[in-house]
Amino acid sequence: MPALNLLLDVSIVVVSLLMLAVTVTTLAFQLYKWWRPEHNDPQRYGSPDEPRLPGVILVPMRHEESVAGHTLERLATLDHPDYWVMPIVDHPDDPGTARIAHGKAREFPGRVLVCPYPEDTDVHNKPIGLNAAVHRLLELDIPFEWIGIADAEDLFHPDLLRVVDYRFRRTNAGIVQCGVQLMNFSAHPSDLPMPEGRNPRLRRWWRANTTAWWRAANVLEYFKWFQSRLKLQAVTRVMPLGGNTVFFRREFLDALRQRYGQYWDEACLTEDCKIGIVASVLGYAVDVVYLPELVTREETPATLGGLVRQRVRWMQGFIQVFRAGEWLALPTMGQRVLAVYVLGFQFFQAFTGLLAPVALTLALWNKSPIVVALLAFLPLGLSILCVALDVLMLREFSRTFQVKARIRDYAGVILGAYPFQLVLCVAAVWAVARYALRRNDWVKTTHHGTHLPAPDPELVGGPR
Amino acid sequence: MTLANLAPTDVRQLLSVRRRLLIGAQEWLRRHAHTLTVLAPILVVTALVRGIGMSTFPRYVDDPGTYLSQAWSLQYEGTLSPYSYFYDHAPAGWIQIALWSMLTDGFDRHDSAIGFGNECMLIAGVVSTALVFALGRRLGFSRWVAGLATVLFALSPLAVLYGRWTFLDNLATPWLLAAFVLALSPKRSILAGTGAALCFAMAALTKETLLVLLPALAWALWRNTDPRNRAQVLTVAAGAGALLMALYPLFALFKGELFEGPGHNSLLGTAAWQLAERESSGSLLTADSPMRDLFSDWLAQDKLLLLGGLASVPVAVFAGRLRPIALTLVIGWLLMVRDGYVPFMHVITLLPWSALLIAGAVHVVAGSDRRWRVGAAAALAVVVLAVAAITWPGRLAPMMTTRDVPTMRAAELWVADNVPRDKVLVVHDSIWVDLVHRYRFEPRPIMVSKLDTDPAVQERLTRIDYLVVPEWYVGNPSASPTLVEAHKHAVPVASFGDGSDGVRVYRVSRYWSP
Repeated sequence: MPALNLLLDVSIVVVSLLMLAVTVTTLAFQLYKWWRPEHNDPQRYGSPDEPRLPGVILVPMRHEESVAGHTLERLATLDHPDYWVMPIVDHPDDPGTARIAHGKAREFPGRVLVCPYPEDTDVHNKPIGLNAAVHRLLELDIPFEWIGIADAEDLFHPDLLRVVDYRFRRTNAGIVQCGVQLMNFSAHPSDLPMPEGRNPRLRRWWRANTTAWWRAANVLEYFKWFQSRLKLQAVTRVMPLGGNTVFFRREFLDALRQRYGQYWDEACLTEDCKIGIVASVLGYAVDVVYLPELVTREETPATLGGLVRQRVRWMQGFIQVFRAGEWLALPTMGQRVLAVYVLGFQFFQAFTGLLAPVALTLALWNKSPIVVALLAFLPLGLSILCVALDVLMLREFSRTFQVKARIRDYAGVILGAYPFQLVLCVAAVWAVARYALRRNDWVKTTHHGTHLPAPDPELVGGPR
Repeated sequence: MTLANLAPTDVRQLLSVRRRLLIGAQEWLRRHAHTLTVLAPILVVTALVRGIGMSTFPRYVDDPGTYLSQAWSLQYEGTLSPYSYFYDHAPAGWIQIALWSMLTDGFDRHDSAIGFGNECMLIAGVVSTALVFALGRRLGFSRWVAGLATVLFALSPLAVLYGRWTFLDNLATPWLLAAFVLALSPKRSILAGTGAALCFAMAALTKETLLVLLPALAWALWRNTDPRNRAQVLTVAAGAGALLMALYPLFALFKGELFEGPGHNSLLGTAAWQLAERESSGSLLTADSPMRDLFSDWLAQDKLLLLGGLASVPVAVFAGRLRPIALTLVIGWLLMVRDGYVPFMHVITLLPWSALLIAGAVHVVAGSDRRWRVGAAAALAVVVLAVAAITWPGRLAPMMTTRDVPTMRAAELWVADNVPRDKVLVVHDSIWVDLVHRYRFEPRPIMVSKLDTDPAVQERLTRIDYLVVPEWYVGNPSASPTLVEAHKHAVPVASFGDGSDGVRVYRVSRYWSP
């Protein structure tokens, strides 16, 4: 069937060219920090002077008894003369966390102030809480020039606010996004808590070694995103944000409200992504600061399933943002193209990683012309280069944070590269399916203690 | 936003693309005005000296015909060779020639394939010349010193002579120079490093022997990288270069021709033969070796560039940036003393680096801005140029003024006029494309180099009617046995030139069959 063979050849060529574009841009984006030596200059952020801008840190909290006290205490003692910490707690729903928050408010008067989650809604998500908190600030007439967002388990570095304050004044940015870094890549069991039950050591050893491959991949993703990808996107002004350790200038929030009637979009799954795009539309720059000693350290989801669910939610959120069409208002054509690319990137990357070997196999099996087979090889070759760079990144990570990376950690990165693409693909397919089925809610899963950098807009029904 | 608070880059975006290009071009010209005043005249003179007379000088040799037939085959038949491709060279060289021909209808524009090959070499030569200048600047030379290197490289009789023949080395040289130019980029970016590696890969895919220069390029790149992004630059560059180069063995692998096996050509088989079994040219240090003879031929053309370059190698001690350049030249010279096979055109690999090192000596002598040192450097430059001015014109003049048609070309024209198109011809490689493409001989003539080496030719061979080969082919003891046998049963019917370079057309007896 020559016609069928030809059709297959043509599809292999088209798919290979697309994959080539994706892998080349992936490489280019994730290496932005190293494009030129100046991009990686230790002095590139300048040295912060005396802070001058008053601000507020908002901390949405929900059933966080285990970490709330510690986090609030840490947040209350940062090095900045003029700021408030405002935990947002649903009092009737979550009296335990509320009690802790009020305790800390008494302990740090003039620093911690509790904001109640609005009682007039059944919906429970992060944007609603954040909006309520801003209204509360205005009611109480508290002066602020910026608002920062922290998750309940985020331990900010004491010097973080000084840098943020300085960067706001120096760059005139509407948003300062600071680095968030997952840390727990290691296959060494001592990094995991001892489980209960029989043979705890053995089980912990097993668990550490069997999950390290995707944890390392996940950790490196953050390492690459915050150091390179986000920075490039900030330069090109197409910018989905991270969910926490992000700071908004008041001027920008006011512009947001003027345009949309509210600050955060209460109906969007990934409102942080959306707000980044909107910032570009409104002409506000985003400053990305990744200083290893200042990053907010977090942990990967506890299980692979948790990781997949998190990805599904992000990807579904990206689809939503894409459909909302805010990006169409970006000023230049280049930015609009880039926006499509950025929003679709998770999908492109997942499928490219999965399909690269398939295309080559097909080309060889189909006895395609050699030029086609060679073309089909290129994306695979570049994927191999990406893995080599991941190994380099892990070495860099271990040096930067002075944690030991062992041979099996490197082995995990190499051997886990393809399975990780499979995982991303599963998430992508699931996200598309959920979107097609219009299942836009997100029921909170039972993964307590999991750190989700994106906000967690949950729909919790039932009695309150 | 009002117009007043737009950044300059934003204002640009309001203009039409054409206007923006125009402004960009004007800015570029303004920025490079000084460079152009030095370089443009050199390039014009280079093009003239290398171009004038290239159709009549030098005589036809084997390799250009082979490469041009392969480029022709790629364009018109979609294969890498009109015969079975046996991995004698990586194919990027004639792929480039074929691409240029496809774009510009090269084989039809010229009245001979060699003429088209000459055009390709002229372009490559001018590009190489410009790149020598650029590399000189990246090595820290002033415009005048870079100009000196450029003149030495462009106009040396040795460079003009070897630069006119359609050799893969001439096509690889611009890639190799570009690799060094990018490796020494002041931006020290990943892009520049990757570009350097890709250019080097192209050079190696054009002429695989240039792989031996990899240490020199790697050194240059390593020296120029910044600790803040060195690991990333080197990893991406190495990965990209390896990926591009890997396409060659992959091509063989996908065709099932990577490993040796019965009944098919193989990349590794040919490589093993080239590396181990090929007859050695002897060492330059041994008197009477073929290498020594070849070297004397080179020196007869020009001593200044070759020996001056070698003598300038020690200056690299004083200038760190020149060291990888010196290493490149040293590797080239070591190949000549190692007692292995050295191809006829090996000298091409030595020329740009020799020119750069001689200029490098001037650069090192000039050193700081002290007056006496600048004076000494100027004196050295004047001496070099004076030697060139005395010794070169006598060599260059015949290259530009010879009007005699090359003997092989004359034989080709005679064949086209006097031999029926259906006769079976065994011909020298250099006229094969013309006989097939222009004069439409059917059955196709057989290239003499393939007569006894390609089993497919042997299989189909039932008769030979004419031989069109240089005299030294027939007299050569290692000549193809079928050719020698046919020659015994042939009478000359036309003769062009004399001596071993002369060409005769033989008619083979119709009572003899191979």
